[in-house]
Amino acid sequence: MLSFAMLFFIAATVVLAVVSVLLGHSLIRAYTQMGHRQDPDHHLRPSIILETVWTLMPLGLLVVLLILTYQAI
Amino acid sequence: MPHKLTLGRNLPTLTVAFCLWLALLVITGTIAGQTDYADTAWAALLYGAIDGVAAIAVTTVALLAWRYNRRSRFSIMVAFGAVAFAAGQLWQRSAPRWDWSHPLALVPHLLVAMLTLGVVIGLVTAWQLPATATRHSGIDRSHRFFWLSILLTGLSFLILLVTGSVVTNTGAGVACPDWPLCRGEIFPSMLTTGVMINLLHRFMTVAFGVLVAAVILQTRRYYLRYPLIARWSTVLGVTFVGQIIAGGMYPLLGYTPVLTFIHLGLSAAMWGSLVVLATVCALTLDTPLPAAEIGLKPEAATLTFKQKAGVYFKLTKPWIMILLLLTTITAMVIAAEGLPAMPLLLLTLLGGALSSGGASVLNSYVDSDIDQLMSRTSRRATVTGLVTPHETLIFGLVLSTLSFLLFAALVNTLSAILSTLGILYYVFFYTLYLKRSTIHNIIIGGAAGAIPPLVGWAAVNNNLELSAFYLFAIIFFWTPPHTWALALMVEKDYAKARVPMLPVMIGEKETTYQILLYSALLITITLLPFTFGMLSWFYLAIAALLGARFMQLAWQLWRNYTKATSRKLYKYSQSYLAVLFIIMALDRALF
Repeated sequence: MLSFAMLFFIAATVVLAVVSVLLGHSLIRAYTQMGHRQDPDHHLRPSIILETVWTLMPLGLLVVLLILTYQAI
Repeated sequence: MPHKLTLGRNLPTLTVAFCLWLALLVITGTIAGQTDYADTAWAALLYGAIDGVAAIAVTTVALLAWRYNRRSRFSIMVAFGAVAFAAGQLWQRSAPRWDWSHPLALVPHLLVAMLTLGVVIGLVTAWQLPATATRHSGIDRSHRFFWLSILLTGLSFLILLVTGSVVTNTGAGVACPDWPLCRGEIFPSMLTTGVMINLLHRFMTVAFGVLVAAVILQTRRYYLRYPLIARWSTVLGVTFVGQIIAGGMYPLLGYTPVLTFIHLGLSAAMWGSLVVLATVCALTLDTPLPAAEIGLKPEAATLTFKQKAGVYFKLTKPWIMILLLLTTITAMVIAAEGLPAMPLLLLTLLGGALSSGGASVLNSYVDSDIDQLMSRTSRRATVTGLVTPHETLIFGLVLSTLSFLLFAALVNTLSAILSTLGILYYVFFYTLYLKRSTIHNIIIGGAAGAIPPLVGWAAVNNNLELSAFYLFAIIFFWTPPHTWALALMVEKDYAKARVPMLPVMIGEKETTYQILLYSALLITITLLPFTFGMLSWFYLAIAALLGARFMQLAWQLWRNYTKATSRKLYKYSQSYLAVLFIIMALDRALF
C-alpha cells in the first residue's frame, strides 16, 4: 500500500514530467521562429546548441531533485 | 628600418616558442633545485640544457633589438635589462659561495628567472605593436587607474611567487595540510614559522585574486575595444582559476613534481599575461576614455557625508539584500530545527549582507553601460555620476572580500566558499556572460540568487542536505516567472539595451506561456518538501493556497496579456517568495 507521501510524490512527478515536455516543445517552437527571423543584429541571435544546453540544465536539476526525494521518502 | 622589428609571419610563433622555453626554464630549474627532488637527475640535466639555450636566446633578442630597433630607447633598455638578469642568473648558478643546499637558495633564482621572462615578453610584445604605438605621448589620465591595477597585480604576483617558493622549498606546506584554512582555522592557535609562511602565501593569494578581478572587470567594462587587452586579461583570469585549483590540489596529492610543474607553469602564464597587459597599456592607451564613461557629476562634489553614504548604501540594492537574507534565515531555522544561536545568526546575516551588497555593486559597475539605456535603471548612481566607476569597483571588491574573510574566519569554510562562489557566479558568469548572450540568462543566472539558503544551511550544519537543495530549487524556479513578468513591463528598455530577454527574443505571447509553465514547475516543487518530512501539513496547506493564486495570475497573464496583468504577477511574485519562506521558518519553529 503506497503512503500518502508517495502518492503525492508520484502525482507531482507526473505533473513535472508533463510540464517539462511542454517546456521543451515550446522552446523548440521558439527556436524555429528565431531561426526564420531576418535579424541583422548578430548580437541578438543566440546559439541554438548553447540554448539547448541551458534548457536541459534546469530539467537535469529537477531529475536529480526527484531521485533524491524518492530515496528520502 | 621602422620602429617595429619585422621578422615576417613567423614572429608570433617565435615569440610563443621563446616564452615557453623560458617558462620551462623556470619550472625545471625549480624542480631540479628543490631538496625533495635533489636526486631527480633528468630535471637537473634538462634544466642545465634549457638554461644555456635561454641565455643565448636572451642575448640574441638583445642583439636584434640593437640591430633593428636601436632608435627605441624602451626596446634597448628592456633588452639589455634582460641580458643583465640572465647574466645574474648564470653568475648565481656558478658562484662558488652560493649555498644551494640552503632552503631559500632557489628563491632569488626563481625571482630573477621570472623577471627575465617578464622583460623578454614585454620586449617582444612591444615589437608586435603597430609602429605608431611606440611614438605615443604617454598613458592618458583616464587609464591610470587601470594601469595602476595592473602594476599592483604584477607586484602582488611577485610577492606571491616569493612566498610560494618559500613554502615549497622550506617544506612549510606540511604545516597547513588543509585548504583554504590552516588546521581548520583561519588563524591557527599554534603560530609556527611554517604556519605563518603559509598564511602569508594564502592572504597574498586572496589579495592577488581581488586585483585580478579588478583588472578583468575593468577590461570587460572599458577595454573590450582593445583586442590584445581583452584577450590577455581573459588568459590571466583563466590561468588564475587553474592556479587556484592546482594550489588546492597540494593538500590532496602532496608536493609532487607534476603538480609543481603545473603550478609553476600557470604562474609563468599569469606573469606573462600581466606583462603583455602592462606593455600594451603603456604603449597604446594614449587617448582618453569617453567622458561619459568616467565622469563624476559636479553635484557629487557637494554631497555631504550622510548623502554620500546613502548613495553607497543604495548601490548595494538593499531590497534584494533583504529578500536574500530572509531566505538565508529560513534555511538557518530549518537546519537548526528552531532558532539558531544568535551570534551565528548575526554573523551569517552580516556576511550575507556584505556578499549580496558586494555582488550588486559589482553588477552595477559592469552594467552601467546598459543601465544608462534603460529608464528603470537610469537613475542608478553609477549612471548619474554620483559615484565614479573606480569608487564603485573598489567598494564592490572590498565588500566581497570582507564577506569571504568574515565567513571563513567566524562562520565556516563551506559557507565562505559558497558565498564567494555566489558572487563570482553572479558577477562573472551571469552579468558578464549570460545576461548579454542567451535567452536563458535569468534561468541559469537565477542560481546565483538561490545560493543564500545554501550559505545559511552550511553556516549551521557545515554540510548540504536535500532540504537545502529544495530551498535552492524553489528560488531557482521562482526567478524566471518573476523576472519575465518584469521584462514584459520594460521590454522596450531591454531591446534598446540589446539584452536578449525572452520577450525581446521570442515575443510576448510565447513569454507568457513560458511563465505559465515555469510557474507550474515552481508550485509543484514548493509542495514536495512535505513528502519527505522537511515541512508539515501547515506549510503544505499555505503553500498550496499561495501557489494557486500564483497559477491564477500566470494563467490570466497568458490568456490576457497586458502591462497591468504582468505588473500584477510581478508584484505578487515578490511577496509570494517572502511569505513562502516565512511560512517555512514558522512551520519548522512551531511544528
